[in-house]
Amino acid sequence: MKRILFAAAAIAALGMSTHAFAQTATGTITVTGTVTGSCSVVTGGSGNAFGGTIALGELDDTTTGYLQTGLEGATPVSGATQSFQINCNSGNPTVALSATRLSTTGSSTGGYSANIDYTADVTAAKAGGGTTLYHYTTAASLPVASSGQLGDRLANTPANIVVDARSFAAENGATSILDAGSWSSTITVVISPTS
Amino acid sequence: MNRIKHLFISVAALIGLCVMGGVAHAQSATGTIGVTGTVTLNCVVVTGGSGSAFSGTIALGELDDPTTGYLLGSLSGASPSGAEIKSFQVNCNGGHASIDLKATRLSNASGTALAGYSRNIDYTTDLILTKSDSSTQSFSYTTAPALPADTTGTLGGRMANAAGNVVVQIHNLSAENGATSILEAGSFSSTITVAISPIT
Repeated sequence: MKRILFAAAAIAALGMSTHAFAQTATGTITVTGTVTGSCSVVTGGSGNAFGGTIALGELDDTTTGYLQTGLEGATPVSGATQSFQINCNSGNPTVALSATRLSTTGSSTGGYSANIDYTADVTAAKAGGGTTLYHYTTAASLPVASSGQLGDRLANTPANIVVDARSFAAENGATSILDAGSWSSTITVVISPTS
Repeated sequence: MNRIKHLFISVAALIGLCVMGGVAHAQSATGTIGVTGTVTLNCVVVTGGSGSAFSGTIALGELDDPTTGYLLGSLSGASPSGAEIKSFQVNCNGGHASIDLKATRLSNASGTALAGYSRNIDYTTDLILTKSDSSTQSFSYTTAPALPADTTGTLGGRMANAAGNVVVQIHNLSAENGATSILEAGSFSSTITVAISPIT
């Protein structure tokens, strides 16, 4: 009886050995990554800040003291346009545009002007072709920022963001004398990587 | 041992949250574009000239009373009128303006006139500037055998941006040798010089 049991045990041991060869180990390794929604500056700045200066030079007609009529036009004068390349990785970025009045120190009355209102434009090139325009016109009481989504991805091309200034208007009319001095204004453009 | 395992899992979860949290922030690009310009201090002539020069002529016509040969009594008065007044528009963009005014005698010829005659006439010229608050400020200069120094001053305010904001006039004409001296025949001339300079 003991022998029979040993034999049976030996056969069982052989069986176990055969079973061990058929077992496969399967590994599943997951690779993950993230692309954070981001708009970064390629030309015209670095990191997430871009900037430039629209230097208009002499603002007045030196034969009258009034704002140069060329600046009053709806087409930006030479030098009133700045281009940048901003790369955004989101599907539908948002552009917000605001500006301050072009001003010099002091205030003016009686036929003089110390502030000039104007329209700032941002022209954003879309990846699928075409552009989206944003306009902001300054006023004595500044309006809220002009803001909206692009409607497409931002084109991955040079000068995909163009900023210009036009339609300047002296606060006290076209025949007001501009105060002598240095004049300045700031246009602020925020491009956010919304989807 | 189990407690240690739980601890490790908790720490790993915290790290995961931190990393995930950092990644989730979107980065916007912000552009700041300055717009600059300059208005140079300047006074420019709108009417009565061009650029920075204005001019005109106060043509008095016949200076003497043809019945006496003496200077016309009407020219001796203190109140100018008609031809004795010239108006201009000069636009200045400074907060103030400095003024320089001078004139020469109204003369016929150089040298000394004979007794009882006159070849020089002295007079007073006024420069009247209108300010942006519509008030006026005057400057005067009176000629003499030895011309006095220029009349200078500062306009206490902005020039009005208006027609006729600069007025030049003359009055109180006086023959060098008295009201009963005979004016020498000939052409008499004089020059009034006005300089208006913009200052802040």
